[in-house]
Amino acid sequence: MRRVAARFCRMAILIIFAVFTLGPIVFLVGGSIMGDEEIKSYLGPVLSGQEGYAVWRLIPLYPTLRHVVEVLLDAPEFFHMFWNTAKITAGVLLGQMILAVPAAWGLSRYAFRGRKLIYQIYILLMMMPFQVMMLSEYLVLDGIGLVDTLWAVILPGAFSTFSVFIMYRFFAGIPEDIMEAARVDGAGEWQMFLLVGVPLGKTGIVSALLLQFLECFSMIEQPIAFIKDKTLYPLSMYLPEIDVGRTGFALCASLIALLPTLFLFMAGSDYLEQGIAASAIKE
Amino acid sequence: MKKKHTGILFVLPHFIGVCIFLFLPFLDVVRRSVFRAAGSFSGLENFKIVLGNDAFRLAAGNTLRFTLVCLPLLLVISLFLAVLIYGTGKTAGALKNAFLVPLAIPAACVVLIWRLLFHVHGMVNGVVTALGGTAVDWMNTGSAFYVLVGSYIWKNLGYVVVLWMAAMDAIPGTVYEAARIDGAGRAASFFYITLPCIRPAAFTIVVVSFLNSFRVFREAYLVAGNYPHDSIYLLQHVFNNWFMSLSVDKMAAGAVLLAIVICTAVSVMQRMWENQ
Amino acid sequence: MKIKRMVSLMLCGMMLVAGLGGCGKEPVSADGETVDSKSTQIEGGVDASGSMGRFMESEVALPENVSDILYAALLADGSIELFARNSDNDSYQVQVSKDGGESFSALAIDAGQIDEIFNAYIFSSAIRSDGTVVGLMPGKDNTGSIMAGIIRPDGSMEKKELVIPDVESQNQEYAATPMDCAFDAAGNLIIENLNSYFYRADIESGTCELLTDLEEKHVRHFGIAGNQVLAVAEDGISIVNSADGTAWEADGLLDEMMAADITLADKNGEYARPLVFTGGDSEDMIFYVNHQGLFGHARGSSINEQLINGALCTIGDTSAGFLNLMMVDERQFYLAIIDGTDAGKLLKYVYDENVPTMPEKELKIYALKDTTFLRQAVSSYQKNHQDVFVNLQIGRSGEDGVTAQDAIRALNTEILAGNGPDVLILDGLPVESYIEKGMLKDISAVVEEIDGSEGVFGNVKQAYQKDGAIYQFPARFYVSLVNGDEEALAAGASLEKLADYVTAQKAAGESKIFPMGGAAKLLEKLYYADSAGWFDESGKLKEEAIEQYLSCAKQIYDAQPNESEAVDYYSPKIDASLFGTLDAFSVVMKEAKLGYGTLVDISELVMLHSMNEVHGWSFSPANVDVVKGFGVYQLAGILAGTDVGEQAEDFLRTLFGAECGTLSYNGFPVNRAAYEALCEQEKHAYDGNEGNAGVNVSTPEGEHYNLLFQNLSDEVTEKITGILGAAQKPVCMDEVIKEIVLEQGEKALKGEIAVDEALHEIMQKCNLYLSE
Repeated sequence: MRRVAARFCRMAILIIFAVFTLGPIVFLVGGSIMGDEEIKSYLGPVLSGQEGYAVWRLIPLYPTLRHVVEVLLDAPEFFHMFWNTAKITAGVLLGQMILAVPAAWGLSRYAFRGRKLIYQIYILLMMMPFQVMMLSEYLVLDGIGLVDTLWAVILPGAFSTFSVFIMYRFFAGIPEDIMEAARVDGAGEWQMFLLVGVPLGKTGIVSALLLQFLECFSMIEQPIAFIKDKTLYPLSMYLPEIDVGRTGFALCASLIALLPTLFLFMAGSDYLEQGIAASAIKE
Repeated sequence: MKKKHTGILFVLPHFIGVCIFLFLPFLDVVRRSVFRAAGSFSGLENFKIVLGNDAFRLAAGNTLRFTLVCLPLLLVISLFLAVLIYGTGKTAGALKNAFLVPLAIPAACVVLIWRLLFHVHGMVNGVVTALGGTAVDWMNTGSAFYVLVGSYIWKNLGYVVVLWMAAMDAIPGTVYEAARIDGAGRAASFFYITLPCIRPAAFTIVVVSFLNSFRVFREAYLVAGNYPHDSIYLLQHVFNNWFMSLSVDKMAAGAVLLAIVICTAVSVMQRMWENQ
Repeated sequence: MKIKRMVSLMLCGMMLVAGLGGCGKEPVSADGETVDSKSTQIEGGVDASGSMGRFMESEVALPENVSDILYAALLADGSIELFARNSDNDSYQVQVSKDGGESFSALAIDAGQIDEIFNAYIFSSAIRSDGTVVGLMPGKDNTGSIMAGIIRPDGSMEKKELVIPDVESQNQEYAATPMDCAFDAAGNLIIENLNSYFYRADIESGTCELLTDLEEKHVRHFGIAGNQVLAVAEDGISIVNSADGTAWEADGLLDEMMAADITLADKNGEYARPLVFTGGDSEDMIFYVNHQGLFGHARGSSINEQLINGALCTIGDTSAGFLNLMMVDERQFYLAIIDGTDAGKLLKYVYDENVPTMPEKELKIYALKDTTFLRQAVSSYQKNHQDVFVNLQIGRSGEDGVTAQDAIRALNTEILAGNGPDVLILDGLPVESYIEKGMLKDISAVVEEIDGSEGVFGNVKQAYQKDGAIYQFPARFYVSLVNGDEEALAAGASLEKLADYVTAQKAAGESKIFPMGGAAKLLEKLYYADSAGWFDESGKLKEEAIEQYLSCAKQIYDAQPNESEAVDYYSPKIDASLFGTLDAFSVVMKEAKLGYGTLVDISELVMLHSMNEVHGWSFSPANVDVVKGFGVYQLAGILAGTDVGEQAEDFLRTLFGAECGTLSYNGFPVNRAAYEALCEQEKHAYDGNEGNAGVNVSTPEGEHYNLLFQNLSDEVTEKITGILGAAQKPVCMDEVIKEIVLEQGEKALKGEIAVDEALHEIMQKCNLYLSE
């Protein structure tokens, strides 16, 4: 009985927090199927200086699919930008998988001269605000001739030190005796990385890539600074700001832009749950 | 820890890229910090100017305060949630996704929601007045700071929960099993097993959370502009405004100072973690 | 061994990354399929490899009394014919040129008869290849017939009724509205009505039969290439055979063009459109012009050759609309357009193989915001400098919602990296920082030169002289005025007096005193009148000046009912309107006791003058006791690092020159010659036309008020010249300070915070800004 009560309590707390974080989604969904007039009447006090206080309805009085149609059918640039984002994300994640994962492995499992220094540099670079680095990064990218191409946002993203930093900890946590055992079995260094490191560090890898993915989907500063050709802008640039008259449209576009990420969360969570389940079996 | 060459070979390809795309620019920033914007060498003059600059001092203080308030709050809340989810098992896994959602919501929407909530005529004030209180201009008084703190936690909660959970995931189940056989309760196994086991990961998480405290800037800017209320005028505002007025020399010097502080803080933390 | 394996794996990885090759800026393949619709800009005629040959543009001088062109056509005998509106009266004329536009002769037509025939608004018109002109009007009482006025090549005229068959099945009123018309190769008139039904009419016999019905498509306008009727709608172009009404298969390339830019479907302006067509020698050839250039395309094929690059000539001027495209042969085209000032123009394009395909020199002009005025200046410059490619970069296009700050940051990055533009339009940019950091070049030579030839307002020049150099200079400027009776004028002399006046009037029982429009607008009006005096000699903000500004604004705001906010923007800090207006008309409407604000342009002066003549009112500079300020528009400078300094200076000569100056958009030209010309023009604008132009409104009480426009008098022009010439200091154009003041001020006015709190906030933020 007490167990059930405790469980109920835990769930209740979690659900309260989930409501707190999920609130905006409800707002987005409601706004996406709400007519402009209705939105205006609720948000008028904030958006156009009417008297009173803003209110919101979870479900519109007069639902309409107009905004959905507008985004999906009448906004070709939306998909164009989506495609750019897809390219950027693919490039960055691929780069991360091929380069950052081994780098994190090398940094965490091997002792070599300069290892500490490299690690420090990685942390430092990760912490520098983008505004500060922007000009100098631009100069480098311009020097290589990458400014105004998608590479200008892909390459710095692919070499982001952030994911190395995250994966480092997970690789470092793998017990040395497992490595030793593999070594005794005659595994080479590369095999050990692929057969021991990657499977055991996969939660770390998945977490790092997931966070990197989010980064790609929300980048705004980098494209503005390094890309001039508006046909190369990613989806995150579609609505960096919301007009008063187009609130409904903007909310709907945001919601649609959000969908891939939500799907990925679900897929990713399956993966993580498997990890949890696997450790449960070990018990 | 063997085979020195192999280690370097794993790291090298990535490191070369990092050098080109990130480290080289950083060195350029360092170089700029000792030159005037016009191009002549100025030694430490820029640093002197920056340290004596009221705007910079205000912003540095605010940033420090923000970090000191946010970090502990975020770490504690997220660890609490992570433990809850972990203890509830598979069914609660889905809830973890809910915590990640804020990260994916476009900044423009977040800003809109902020305005709706914290505007003088916003929903929060609607509730406050309905309960008999007086309306507060949340974004233009000292409360702006707490709004910013709240939004930072709201946004980064999922991030950190995921990291805590991944760390807990790495603890072998057998350890808990053994503890249970020894008669340890939930609380005991949390304090004697979970906490010590995730301590190495805590370092990562602290650094990442610290890093993300720099990223509330875009929201802060979109809601409150370049010159927000005193209490949320952060280092990024200064850096940004300096760049807007082409004072790259000052910006670089400020950045180098920030880098020094970060490096010191991180190595101190590292030392603490290693010594314990 | 292991190292080898690792290296090979790394290489594989590298190749994978390289496989993402699509991410770079790839040239678009000719069939436009690999890349999506948006970037289907086929660069057929243009490449930077130093190839030769380009179409050169020249403007054909039109006969003097032509104001708007309704239709232009190339006739079968090679002459050019124009159907145009007269500039001196509302009647029409036909002009023919047999020598390719060198000279025109008017077709002798009876003036009385033509007015009788075209007694209604001409919705659309066309010219047949034998020179017959047709102008279409809706039929009487909208009975389902269309009236066609016909002018034959011999000058004889006729009016025919074209009866629309089967009109009952459609909306009848729309059925009789001729949206668009054109002649096909066989000489049949194709007519489109407002229901998007297409008819084929024989104007000789007056028969009219249904060609096709595209009601579902919502066709906006159409063009003809040979026998291909190209009906333009938002979702694509339907191509119909004008001979039998059968539809050809949709053309992927044209549809893609529409998908990429749906504004191509808008018929902008009276007759102009953003997309026009003409046929070629072969049956399925289509030549078309959009703002990207002139293209030759064979229907259904992937061939799409860009013959003329719009960016290099007037075609790229998005403020212009197209009327007709005419093809002499593959080396010579004519294009009739209506430019941004609504003037008709005829442009001639001749291929010259001795000119490089792309100009070798590029002039980069940067502006935060797009303006018609700037477009005009660019197009005017481009026309006279075809050896220079003008690359106009707009920081905030408004489509992608990049904030001003984002745009400026990107601009600064480019400037610091040495990739900056050559000419900067400084409106909204941090000018002072640019000057301080030595980013701007001294342009005093250009200004002095113009001053020497055409003259500039000396007070403006003086205001921008800094240590003998001029780093920034405005093309246009404006002042704040107060308009009304003696008492009102006296009150306008300072904000304090104004506030007292409003309070006194309020006490006397008046409720509507200062023109309404909400807190933001009030603050902005007072800002333009007052902010020139906010800084002391050392560039510090004077607290007492702002305190007075705020308290006066508050006093005025509180004295009036402000129940409704006329305009408010979601985010005033991002997109504030450039000008307040005088709102002098509110006095007539009994909604205010005085007019107050910035005088937008000379046409507003005409209205003011006409009104004052009737009521015995007058105007005087606002806040004159405190400061004589002026606002500026299109402030320009040259970046110090430019490598095309000569061209940049040339552009400034155009921008500040008399020609651009006479475009009466926003403010008054700083150019003296242009200013005089504008005044002169308005002194005679209503000669022989009195009583025709004016405004007619009903007051809220239901009274009719009719204001007829009058010519400006010498007295008034002298007065305004005096006021403009006496202004000493530019209004504070620093966007940061303006934003802070207006934002806090609005809160104070609305009572959300107290005035002294607002003052404190403003001072704190501004000092923070200034101390950075």
